Amino acid sequence: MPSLFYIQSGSYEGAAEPTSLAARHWDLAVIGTSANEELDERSKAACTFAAKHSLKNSRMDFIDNTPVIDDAKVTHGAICVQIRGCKNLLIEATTLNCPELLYLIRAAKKEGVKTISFLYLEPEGYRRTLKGSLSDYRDFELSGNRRFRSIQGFGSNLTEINPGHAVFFLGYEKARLGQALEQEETLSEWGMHAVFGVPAFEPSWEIDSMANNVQYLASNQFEARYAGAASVEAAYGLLNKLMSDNKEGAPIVVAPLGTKPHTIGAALFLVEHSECDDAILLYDHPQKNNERSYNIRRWHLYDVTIAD
Amino acid sequence: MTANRQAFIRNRAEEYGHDVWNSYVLPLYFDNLGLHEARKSVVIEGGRGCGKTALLRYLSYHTQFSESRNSIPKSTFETIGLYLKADTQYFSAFTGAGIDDRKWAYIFEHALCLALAEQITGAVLLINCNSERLDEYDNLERLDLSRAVGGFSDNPVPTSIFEFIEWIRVRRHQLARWFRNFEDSAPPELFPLREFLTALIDEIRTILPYLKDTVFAVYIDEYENLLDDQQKFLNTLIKGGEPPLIFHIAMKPNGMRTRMTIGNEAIQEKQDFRKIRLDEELKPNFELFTAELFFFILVKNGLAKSSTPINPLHLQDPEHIKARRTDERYKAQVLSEIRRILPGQRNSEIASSVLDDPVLAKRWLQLVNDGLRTKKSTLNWDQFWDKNFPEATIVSASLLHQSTKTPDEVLGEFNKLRQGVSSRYKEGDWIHHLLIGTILLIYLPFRQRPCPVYGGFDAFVSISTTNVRHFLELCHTSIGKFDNGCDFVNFYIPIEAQARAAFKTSFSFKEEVAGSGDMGNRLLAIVNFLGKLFRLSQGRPSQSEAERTHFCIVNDQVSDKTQEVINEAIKWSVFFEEPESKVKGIRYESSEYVLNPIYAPFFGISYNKGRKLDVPCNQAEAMFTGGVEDFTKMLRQYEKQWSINNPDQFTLGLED
Repeated sequence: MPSLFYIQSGSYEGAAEPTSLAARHWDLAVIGTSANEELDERSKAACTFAAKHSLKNSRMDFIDNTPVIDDAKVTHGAICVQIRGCKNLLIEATTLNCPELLYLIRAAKKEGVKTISFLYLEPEGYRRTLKGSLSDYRDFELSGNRRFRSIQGFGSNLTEINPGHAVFFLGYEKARLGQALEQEETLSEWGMHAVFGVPAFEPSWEIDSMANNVQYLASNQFEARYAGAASVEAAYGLLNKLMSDNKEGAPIVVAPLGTKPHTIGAALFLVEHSECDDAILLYDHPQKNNERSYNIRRWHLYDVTIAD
Repeated sequence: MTANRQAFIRNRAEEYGHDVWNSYVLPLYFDNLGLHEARKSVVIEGGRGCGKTALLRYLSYHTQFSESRNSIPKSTFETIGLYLKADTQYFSAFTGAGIDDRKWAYIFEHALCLALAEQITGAVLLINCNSERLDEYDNLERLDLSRAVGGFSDNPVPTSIFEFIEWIRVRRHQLARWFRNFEDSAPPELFPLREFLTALIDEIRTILPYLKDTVFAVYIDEYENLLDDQQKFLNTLIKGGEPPLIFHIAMKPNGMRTRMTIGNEAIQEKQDFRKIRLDEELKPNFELFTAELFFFILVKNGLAKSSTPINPLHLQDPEHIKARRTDERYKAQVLSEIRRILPGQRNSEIASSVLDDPVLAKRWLQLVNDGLRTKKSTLNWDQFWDKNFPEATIVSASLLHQSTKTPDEVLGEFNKLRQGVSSRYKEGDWIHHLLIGTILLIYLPFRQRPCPVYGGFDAFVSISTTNVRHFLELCHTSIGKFDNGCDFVNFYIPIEAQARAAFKTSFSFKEEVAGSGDMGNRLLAIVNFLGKLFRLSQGRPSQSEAERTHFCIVNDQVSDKTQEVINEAIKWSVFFEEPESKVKGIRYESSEYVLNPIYAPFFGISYNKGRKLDVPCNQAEAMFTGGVEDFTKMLRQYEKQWSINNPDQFTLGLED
């Protein structure tokens, strides 16, 4: 079955704005930061690029289970109105999270936008260790609100549907998979898949994500799968393959807990199959933290064409 | 046929499905609960792993009318249990998105109504699941469900129960479809729960003679995970519940965030509901229950029944509960057999084995020499060494560090003991108070070495508190694959393997704390902090505050924010709240908090409740709501205060 979305990827080394993107322009750019937010380097660069290369731009967030655009709570219909008439759309994925991506892609699909581009700036690294500290944690990890909560349009009552496949895209935050399994015990009857970002953004990072999740993987009989950490196409393709191999039509739960490109791929898949209970989002709404990354290593631009 | 099986791998109720007729061991408190007879709401409160879900599934119709049950006593029909566990991630999204809270409340009510209607009709069908039962009960064709609930819908409602179940299923799909696309589709027709279900039940009771006096009891599991407005709705059902439809809930401690109903009234304990604290019920016979469960699981995995001291059928029969509880001979047999399989060591044996181990003996020697040197004593270490008195020898290592005692005084008492006269070692309880603490102190730097204190059935029971899942996991990690054709008379698990399993299990449950609700990460940080703090205390050579594993908060009342974190920690059994035992001076707080002993093997601390740590209120604030720098600062501060020697610091493992 042909897929709904066709993805072309471009990667550009270095911190500076890629010269090959200088001529690109979009009708509308959506970024994910508020006006007063203190930004890390890559978010600043990404938002500056988005503003410079678009006719108009909007800020988006997801607060109290409701999408918010330019500080006003909006409905799906209002997002469609915002996008209406645009031939192309730039979604700044460095600063936007999974719920916003889902709402934007769904609206773009409905409004017949031809090309959706996703911008993602990869950092040089993350601040992971605290020298001289006797604590195993960094402050941002202590913040609350890690409850898995579905969002309207992409959720289902998992206790009411037949077990299918649960696909977890994993990163280095070890608590997230554990929390999912603890909070959704009903998944113990599902086929479990763990997707690691291989090749990783940097060699050896995949070892971190495996090591941080290994205790759950061993005891829950996960099938390990791999998709390039920077590849939207690999994540999207992996899910679609699972769907097409799945002759019995069992539902697929997708938990995008890994890299942002994987989250984009998962969001495309969820929008494509969101009409019924085929594809279900499982998501824990982590709080944004702009302090944990530093510098810019690479720029990525993913152009997604929607099939007619 | 013999086989190697991981007998203890399944330790969650969810892994056994809804029908637990063949797998449920009746807990020894079961006949005290009176749930089958209850005609008023019951709130079942219990920490993680104490068996709430398994109990509710046992009480639900899936089990009571299980196909595996050969004959169904008449009394079973008095109450039919309907089990409902809300999918948290789904129902917690019943908010926002431009829909007002009142409308969400109606949608929640409708979703619950459909789920229960499906369960009620499901129960009726299960009662009639085979030809024998149809011969005995049946009358299903006389039901007219259209007559019963047709008035609630603008669309035709089918008459027959079979078509009605399909009709309910379609309604559920409509709701799901609307949830996925609510801006583009009209909201589904919503049903009022109590009225709809009462009408359905009335029809069933009127038409089916075997259900004419039946009360339907709804058991809502994991109530704590519902949103506040959803809890209020269920509280309303509790307040207004009366036969033939009553509502019970099960939750973790502190799970009821609001007592309000959707009106202006609140629900009151005793007046509106009875509360059962499952952990308290489990505690008195936990030891026997876990031992019975252990043998039951082995039998279910192919071990010959005759090889064990239990009769699996008795463990599943309510008639035998009293005998199990009171027959001392039976109890002794069961406990003695499990102690043979999971042998522990007496303290004197552990003490001897420490003295016989060159590495541990060297550590003892170092502690004794350090004590003598600090006290500027001319005595020699070998004056405190007597393998005939291993316990006294061990505790001497701590006594020589205590500021209130001189080495000569300690030696005097040691020699009295050796001469067989009254000595403070025994009569003064020095051994009693200090032995476990000193053994742990000796083991402390050797983290990878299995410490026998954590091995043995009795240790496993203490480490598990009232958490059945923790006990089963300790057994699973100790035993691994069980060969049901083994020579069971000679089958046992060496204490080293058990101690190693305790360390591994402890680590894995500690890591699991991260998954404990909204504050999981913070709770894990608190466990790590408290574990390290008590490990620091455990590392004090004098052991003057031996086996410290609990604390209380002194000087002031904590802030609301801190209290919220404490409540969450209690909810997830990270620590247990108990009324304060010994009170020194004036204080506001009257609770003490005991770190869950499951974390003890990993941190190398005691699983007993020893001496208490008084934490000043301002420190408690930092402990529960502070950042990582606060944790480090406090640990350093305590380290200094307890002046622990620096060379040990690395081996204390504080920086891992």
